[in-house]
Amino acid sequence: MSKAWSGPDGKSTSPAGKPAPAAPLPGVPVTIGAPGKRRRGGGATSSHDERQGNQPGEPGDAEPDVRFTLANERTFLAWNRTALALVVAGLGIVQLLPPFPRVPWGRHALGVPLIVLGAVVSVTAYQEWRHTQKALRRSEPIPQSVLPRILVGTITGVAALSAVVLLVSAVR
Amino acid sequence: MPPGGPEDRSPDPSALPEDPEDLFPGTAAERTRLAWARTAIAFGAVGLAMLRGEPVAGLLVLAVTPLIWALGRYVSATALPQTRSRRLLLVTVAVTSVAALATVAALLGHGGPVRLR
Repeated sequence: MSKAWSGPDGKSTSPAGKPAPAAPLPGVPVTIGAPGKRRRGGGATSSHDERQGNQPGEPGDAEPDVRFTLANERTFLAWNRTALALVVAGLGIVQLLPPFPRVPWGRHALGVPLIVLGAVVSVTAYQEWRHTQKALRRSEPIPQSVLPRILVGTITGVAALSAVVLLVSAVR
Repeated sequence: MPPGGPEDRSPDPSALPEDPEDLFPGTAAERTRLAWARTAIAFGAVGLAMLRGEPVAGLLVLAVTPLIWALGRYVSATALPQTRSRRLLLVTVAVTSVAALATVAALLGHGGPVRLR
């Protein structure tokens, strides 16, 4: 077992060497978004974990199962890579494409929104990471992400604008 | 034990868990380390891409790459929540700064629509 999966105090959390059927780590219940509050006692949340997970001003919220924390973190990182890809795409449109004939503003109209979208995606991903982590701590339902809608809306708009720019540069 | 009988449904402690991660929980930490490495590589790629048009901005982004790599190395499964939050905030600040640099490069760079006189 990886070192990262031992308890914070180094104790193995898998009893008697058997594969744990569920929640091998100290944490909240495995069911994400279970309606009830987190379990007290029963070994699901160790006292050490409670100390570690408590946020200032939020007494009683336990740090969730570390697998959920890591999955949440990977989602955040994936959105940030998406944001970087959007920035590169926007910069590439502005700097690498030849100017559209008769539409000198075309490259900037297409590229700058993508770059701005990259910044928006990154900031929103951080906010959503925080909200999801909070929901996991309280065993509340995971809030729905607005990022796919933002991404779809902006990319659709940029695609439509691309069509307009191409048509104008070809027809006029 | 007759196959399909009710005895079959009794929990078998040696059976595979429903989630394979329960058997090999370290894979989640490994996947997260790989995600951090991909993010650092993405920063490097962005820096290299920016080098052509804006060498200074490209070098700045390239300088951030080892920082992101190091952040990934030091984010462990047992990191305190506040520490983890600050580290992830650093990633957002870095990506937002890259976007700001790219916007400036797009608007003020070579052939941009805005000319500084």
